[in-house]
Amino acid sequence: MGIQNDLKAATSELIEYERRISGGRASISFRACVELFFRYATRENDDVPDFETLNKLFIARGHHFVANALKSRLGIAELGHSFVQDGMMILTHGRSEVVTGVLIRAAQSNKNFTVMVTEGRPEGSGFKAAERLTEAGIPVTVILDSAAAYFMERVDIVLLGAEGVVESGGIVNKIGTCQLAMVAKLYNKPLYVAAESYKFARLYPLTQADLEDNVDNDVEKPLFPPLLTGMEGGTATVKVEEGEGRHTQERGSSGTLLGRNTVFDSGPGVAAMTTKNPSCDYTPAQYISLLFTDLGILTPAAVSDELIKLYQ
Amino acid sequence: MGDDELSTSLSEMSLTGSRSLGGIGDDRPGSALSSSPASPGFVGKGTLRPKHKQQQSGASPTRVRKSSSPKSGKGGGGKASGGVKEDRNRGRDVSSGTTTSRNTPGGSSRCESERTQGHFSAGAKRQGPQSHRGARAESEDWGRHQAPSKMIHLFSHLPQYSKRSTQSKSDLHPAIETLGLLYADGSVRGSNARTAAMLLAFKEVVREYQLPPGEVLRLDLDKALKPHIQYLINCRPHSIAMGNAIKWLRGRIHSLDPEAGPAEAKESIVEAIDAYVEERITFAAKTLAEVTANKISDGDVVLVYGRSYSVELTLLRAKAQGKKFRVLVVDSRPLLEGRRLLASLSRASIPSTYLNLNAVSYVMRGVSKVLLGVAAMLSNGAVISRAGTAVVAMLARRFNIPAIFCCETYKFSDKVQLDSICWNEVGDPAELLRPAGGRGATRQVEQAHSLQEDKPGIAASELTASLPQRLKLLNIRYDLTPMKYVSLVITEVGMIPPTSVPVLLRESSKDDVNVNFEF
Repeated sequence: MGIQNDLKAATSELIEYERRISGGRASISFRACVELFFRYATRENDDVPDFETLNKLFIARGHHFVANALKSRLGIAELGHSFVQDGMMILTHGRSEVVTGVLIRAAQSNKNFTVMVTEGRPEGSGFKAAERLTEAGIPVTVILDSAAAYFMERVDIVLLGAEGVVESGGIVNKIGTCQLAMVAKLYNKPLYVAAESYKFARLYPLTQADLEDNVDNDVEKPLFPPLLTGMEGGTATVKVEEGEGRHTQERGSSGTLLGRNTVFDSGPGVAAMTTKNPSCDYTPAQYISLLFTDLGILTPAAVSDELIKLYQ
Repeated sequence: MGDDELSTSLSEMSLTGSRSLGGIGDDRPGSALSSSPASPGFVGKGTLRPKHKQQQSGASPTRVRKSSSPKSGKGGGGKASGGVKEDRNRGRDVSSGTTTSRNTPGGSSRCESERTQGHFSAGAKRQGPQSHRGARAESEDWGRHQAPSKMIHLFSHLPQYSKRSTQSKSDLHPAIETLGLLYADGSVRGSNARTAAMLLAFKEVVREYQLPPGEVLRLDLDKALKPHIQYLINCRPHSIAMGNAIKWLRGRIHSLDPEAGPAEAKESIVEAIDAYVEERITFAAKTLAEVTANKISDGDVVLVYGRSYSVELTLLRAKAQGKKFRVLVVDSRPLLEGRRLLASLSRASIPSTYLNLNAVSYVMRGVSKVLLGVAAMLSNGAVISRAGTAVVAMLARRFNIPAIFCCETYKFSDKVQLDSICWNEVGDPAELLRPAGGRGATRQVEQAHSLQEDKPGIAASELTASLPQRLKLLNIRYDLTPMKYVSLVITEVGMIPPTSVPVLLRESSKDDVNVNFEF
């Protein structure tokens, strides 16, 4: 019982730490992981007589966890890449290790396809994803987050990562995912989510408001930094061509990524403005076609089944 | 928020609430209960058996009955352990009332007029199934007089209301007889209350059961239970949850250790029943309420429909947690169950608004969550619940408001149903014509209602009798909400999407004994 309390304390400590470093909140997958480990710890507790063995078991379990995370990413790439076919245009949003894994695996199996990445405001994570993909030789187009509907008619599939997969089969992911999913649904484009099973969380949000700690109302933070200098008056999309020179130039121009927003700083009435900057949103299961996980290709409904098995 | 006009101040609400509360047990002055025991020591049947129908609402429609304690008949697992005892007390109240009423003159002549009305299914009901005890001939008359033209064709495969009989054929345990009468007159209502009361009554049966020499207990006990089960079903068709409990009990009996002595075996069944009621109903409802209450947040406007025990618990729990929220209680004729909920919410000082189902589309836009009770959760994700639930859930979906269903896992069924027709329950058609609320409402309310005032002294039955010959009445109790309108199912084991019902069924059946019975 003592170790349970220790673990509990460690859990809240860890979540607090994660909250601090990520600036605001602990990610859902992080919390799901911690809960899963805790679950394991409480369950295992009864069978083991002495503390030494228990200790070893726990540590081994921790390593197993980490190793599994890496392995499952490869497994997902193996399962998911067959959904990418020659000549496809794939839309993705934000940066996800699993998604890049799937796409790179598909490219390795000699499929020719193009990827469209939304820039992923405010931190511009889409650029990071685009960088990884271009390095792997995949043609990438970066578009504005708000241009998703404009390009949807040309897109064949939408492939997303997830920060957390919730019990309903829906996902919690970077802000903008939900609207993207809605547009995809409207255009009848299949939407796939690639996520490791440790991201499955026993949560059941019903509305966006159910995501706690989500909205960042800190006006001190630059909420809408300009991603690319000199974009005003220019085209909404920036082609990131293959080739180092062009690419670094784009990187250079996005160097101001996190700088202060000079356009909005100076205007009158700025102090009276309120800004809201939620970092993630909830996408209900109805917008998701399939989930690529290390447990296999799942329908959204199967997520809850797996969770029930996991926690029963 | 357009519903301000609809909202009634809390004080007014509590007034209405208490008024309606007074009449909860009122219903019909069940003459049938006359034969129910006057005390927990049961009187043999027939001692108080009425020769004929006594006065009913028809004879003295304006008569205000003293109702039994408001608590009695209050459904729910929470009260489960004391349920039967309370019910008995109730039975006593009512039966004493009947005794006096039987002495009222003119009883036999009324009987004549009733018989002439018998061919109206609606009129027939007024006599109530209870009156059939000891009036076998009369009940057969009913069967004949139930003109086919009065049946709704679509629902003709269901047991028709007037055919029900509380008449017992063989020697039944008094606890079962009492319960059957309470089922029939609607004083025990709601899945949780009915199932818990049934199991506790079965417990009494098992306890007092004597193994005949030369018989095997696990076979003979099951045989002995059968007429009891059948009797309860005759009184009112069993709900799916009750069917589950019966199935479980019979499975439990069949899997008894053949080596065990009769006393030991009986004791194990009694314990198992207690555990089932405690774990699957009482505790489940509490846990469920706790989980659901966490889903209610400050500033929520929660819409509920009718009165579901677990929903009521949830709201009270959320209030106890210090949440600030408002409740819209949607109610519907003929049972007007919502009034009881309203009374309980008012007692807990939860700001509430009371409205009828037909006003729901108007208030829905201001609602943030819809909480609904469940009679049975089917394995295709559909929900069977009190009639009207589907309308509320569909409307919620239309307004993008999450519809949350509260369901204990013992109500999960492996059945699949696509509409509300295959399985349903036909209620008393006369309820539809009764001015206000019929069984569920008080006489006071009935009096207040204009119909009665307009035509003083005219009973509902007489109104029915004057109706056109071709008029059919349909009073169904349940409806089916398809899966797409179910946002979330909250059970005692957590929150699940409706798609996961089969998974929970599978997981729970792992530890259960699986014996297939037809029920």
